[in-house]
Amino acid sequence: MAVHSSVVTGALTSLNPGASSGVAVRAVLIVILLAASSGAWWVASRRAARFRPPKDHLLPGRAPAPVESLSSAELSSDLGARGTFVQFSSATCATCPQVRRVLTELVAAQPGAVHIELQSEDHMDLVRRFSIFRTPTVLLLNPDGAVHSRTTGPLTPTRALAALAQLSPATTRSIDA
Amino acid sequence: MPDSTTTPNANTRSAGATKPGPPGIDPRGPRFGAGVTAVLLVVTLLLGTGTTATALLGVVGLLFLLGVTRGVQGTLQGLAFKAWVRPRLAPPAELEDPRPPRFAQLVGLLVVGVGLLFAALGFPAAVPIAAAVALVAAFLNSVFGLCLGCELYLLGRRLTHQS
Repeated sequence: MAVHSSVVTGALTSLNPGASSGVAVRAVLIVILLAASSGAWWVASRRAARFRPPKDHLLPGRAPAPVESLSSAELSSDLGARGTFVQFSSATCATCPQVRRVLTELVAAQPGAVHIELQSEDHMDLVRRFSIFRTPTVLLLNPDGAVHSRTTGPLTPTRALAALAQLSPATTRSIDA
Repeated sequence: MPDSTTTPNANTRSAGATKPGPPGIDPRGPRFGAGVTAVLLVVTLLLGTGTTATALLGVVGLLFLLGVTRGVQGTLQGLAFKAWVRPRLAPPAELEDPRPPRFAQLVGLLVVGVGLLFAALGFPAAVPIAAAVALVAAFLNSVFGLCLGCELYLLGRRLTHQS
């Protein structure tokens, strides 16, 4: 420890005469840096975890996209009668398998709900059209294919189910088949 | 419910998403590795701008280089995790694709590499700056499981594929 700190002090005195106070100042700066990153992460993840209306993500002053919808032809898949979760994944996405698992289980238990997963690299046109900056991003489409809401990052089953329920509130009674 | 048990994934379609990837890895491995990296970077920052700090940042850079060439499970932290940490843990809930953390190692290597390059060019402040940037990413990865480097992937794709 003594040897180590003398090396540290030696390295520091070359630049900073108040070496021991320099380490203390740096330690405080490191703590501030880590606290600020934690705070930023907390705010960002809280915001991202919710399903939000599609225009909410656009920067102020930017023109909103005129039509925010996807057709079954573009997705080469049928849309769900209640709703369609379109998940944008990518090769370097650590959270995508978790979201895939949540949505796969959800659509298995919810008739009329469909989950479609797209590789962003293969659909850069859609990535640009829907202003997708992160994977996973999930768009929730209504039965007509219009984007009802979207979310990014980790997804809980509760939130996904709540978003689907918001899309068609009277679900359990209206579906008889 | 009865029909959903026979075809549980009937409503899930992945359009070209099921490319057979490499075998999955324990997601806690990269997080453990990031924790070790974070500790090394904290020490680097405490050292300031001397030769020792530059050398330590070089060590972190070499660890990132190992992660880029051999995958995150092939780094020294990855091997340490496999040998000493994983035997003490319960099996993971799900496995993780090793490519995202490997890409993040490349991002880390670039950050540290640029810092070392500027230090060599006569800007000693580049060492703590690069260490601070890398520390934020390593810290968020180890503590919250957020892979900041992975998040940059799609942004990079958007910038390089402007059509």
